[in-house]
Amino acid sequence: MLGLQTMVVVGESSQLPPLPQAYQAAYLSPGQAGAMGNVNNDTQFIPYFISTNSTDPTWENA
Amino acid sequence: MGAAYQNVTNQFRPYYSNPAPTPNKRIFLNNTAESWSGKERDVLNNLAFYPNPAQVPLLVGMYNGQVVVDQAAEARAAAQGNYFDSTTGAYLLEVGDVVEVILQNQVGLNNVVTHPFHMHGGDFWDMGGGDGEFSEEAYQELLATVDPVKRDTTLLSGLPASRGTTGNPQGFRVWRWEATAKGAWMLHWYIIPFAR
Repeated sequence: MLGLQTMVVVGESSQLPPLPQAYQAAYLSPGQAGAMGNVNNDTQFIPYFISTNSTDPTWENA
Repeated sequence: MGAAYQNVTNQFRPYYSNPAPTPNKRIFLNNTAESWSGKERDVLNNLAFYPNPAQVPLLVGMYNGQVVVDQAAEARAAAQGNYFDSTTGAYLLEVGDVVEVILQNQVGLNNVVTHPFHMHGGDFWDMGGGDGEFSEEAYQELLATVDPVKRDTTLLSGLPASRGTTGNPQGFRVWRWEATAKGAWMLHWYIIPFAR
């Protein structure tokens, strides 16, 4: 499901429904949270996407 | 396949009357394929989805505070003209919005393909589709004939079959989607066979 995909957010972060307790450890642990990343030196970095402006638009499996 | 599909689905009628609401926002999604440094990229509005494992997933980020979607983010999205916020990496909608999603197929790499598109986060009203390029005139003609049904997947026509050059319009489809479920939702092509 790669390539032709995009994402839609409805509402603001503060409006999200409470996270069920069973999910909290996974969602909020440092390992799962990770770093947002900036794909190194991309001049016009957009999370979750690459463009012709990306540092390396030839990444495998992208 | 595209023409036959549209001829049938544009005539679908809801079992129970369920008119589509009036939209207050509109998002255009232009779909094509391009060669970036020799590698095929399938792109929506010039962006190819790339789930870099270094990035926190969107919904996780919203919960742990690394991704902040607030009024400032919504203002950025509105300022870009198509409700896409480059900082968040998503289209930002408010609860209660009715968004008209216009999917425009284009020739990509000298190829024309009919694609299924699927939306998460609630069914949409399928306002129908047509061949070639979306226009207000073509859409009004369509609206005069359809009584839209709610669906979660439709095909996007790859017609007319004359290919032309990359970027030529090759079919459109229109959805109306009511943003009622708070959260982060995917809109994507293909279904399980294309997951990898």
